[in-house]
Amino acid sequence: MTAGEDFEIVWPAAEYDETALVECLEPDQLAVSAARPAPPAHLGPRARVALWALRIFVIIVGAMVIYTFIHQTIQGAS
Amino acid sequence: VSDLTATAPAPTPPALTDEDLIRSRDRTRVLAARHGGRRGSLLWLLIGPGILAMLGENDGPSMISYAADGARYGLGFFLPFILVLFAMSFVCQEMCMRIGSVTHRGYGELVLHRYGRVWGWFAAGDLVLTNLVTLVAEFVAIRVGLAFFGLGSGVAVALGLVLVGFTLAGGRYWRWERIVLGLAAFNGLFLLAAVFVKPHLGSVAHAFATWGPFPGGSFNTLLLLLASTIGATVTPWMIFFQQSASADKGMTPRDLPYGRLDTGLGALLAALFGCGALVAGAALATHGAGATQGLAGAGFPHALKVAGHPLVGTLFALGLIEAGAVAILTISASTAYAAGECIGAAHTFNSSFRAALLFHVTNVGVVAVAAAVILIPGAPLLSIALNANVLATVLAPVALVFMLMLASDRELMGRFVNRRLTNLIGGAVIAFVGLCGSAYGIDSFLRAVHLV
Repeated sequence: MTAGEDFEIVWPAAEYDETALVECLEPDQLAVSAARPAPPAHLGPRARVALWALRIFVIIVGAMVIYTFIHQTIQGAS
Repeated sequence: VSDLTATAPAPTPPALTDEDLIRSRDRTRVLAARHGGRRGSLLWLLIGPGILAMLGENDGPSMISYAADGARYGLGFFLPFILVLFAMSFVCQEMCMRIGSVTHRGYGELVLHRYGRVWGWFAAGDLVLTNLVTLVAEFVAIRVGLAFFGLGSGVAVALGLVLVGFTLAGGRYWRWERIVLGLAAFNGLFLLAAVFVKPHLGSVAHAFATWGPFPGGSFNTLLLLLASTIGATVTPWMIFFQQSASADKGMTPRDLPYGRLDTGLGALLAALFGCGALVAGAALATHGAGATQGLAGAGFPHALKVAGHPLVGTLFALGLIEAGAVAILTISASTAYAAGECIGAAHTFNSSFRAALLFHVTNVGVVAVAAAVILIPGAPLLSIALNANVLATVLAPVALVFMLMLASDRELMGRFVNRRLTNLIGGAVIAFVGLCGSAYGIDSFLRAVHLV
């Protein structure tokens, strides 16, 4: 997938002519194109380290926050 | 029709769906306005996702948070802080709009495809959790507003469900967006409320100029206030929503300047209206924060009435109903987009109920679940409402990191990739949000297990 290209439509187009209508969309905008999965990203070493740091952050802080949220919710109920 | 087709051999026409046809009809109007040089029409056609993300985030809990800041501390630190937070929010939302317009894909599917299933599902799971909690809080806010007029939870539930059903009924993004934009205009009631409390303009100017007085109290209270105020401006659902809505609207790279205008206008209006809620709440500061204690901010409309501002109380109550209603529509939409994107099902408003079944069922389903929670007798709604923004703040950094990575991905974004300065500012925003959220999360946890 690449970034969308600019393109010009010669106006006016017949509004209810399907062929004309579809040319108002970029090729990537069509449902059939958007349904194709984007290719996986090529991550460098720094990005991999950053994602591992994010995993650790999520596990530690996420567990703390969810525990606190449940604790406070139970306290609020009682 | 296109100059390109004049020289190229006739290609096989792509398989068109109803989604393509509906979106292309909307795009013909954009192209006609651009071709005719009608900038006003172009702006009218292209505004939407940015204003809705920003005003959707000026939701019930956020407005109560701002008013609580005003009632506790008066006009001071939080007034300019709200402006800075919406400037930070603009930086993040502009990236989402840009990614959606360039790739024509939502945030959830890009994270899933580019960074793997674990992160994709984590992002979606995190979103569903925080959205469910926030939706409950929205119903609480609507109930508070309705209670001012003597109406109960049943009306709040009916209002939320009818609104979601009504906006979805047309099977078209444009219709949904315009109805929600019309509703969101009433967020301005908070600014009107601020005008009617007749604030001392010198104090307002002093607060903006000096950032003072700085809030006192315990470290945990300060962190809670910071985290909940940040959670009122930078949240995961906004990221999902604006990127997916920009793609669903059919925005392209040529629309980026108008997308920025839309996002900037949304940030400006949301900051103004948020400051309005704070100024209205500050009218209670001289009556003592005790005026709202016990209801922990939930009784603002009534407290304002008792404090001698009956009209402001009415405006605040109506504002809470509007804020909750708009947030229900935008937050449920972001959940539906995320579900469709991660499961790989159709995820667009430009479709019939049957053609995008999962999207529509999720949209209605999350609202129905949240509505059911507020009907449970004795449910700890206040605790949920107060923690909603904080939960969003603590989980927001993960969503922000991936947003920054996507916007910096040259393979994906081409020449629309983030510049170095944008990355620096974006990184600083993530660090700030992450630090405040984590500090509050850790401090609250240590208190919950009685370690401090």
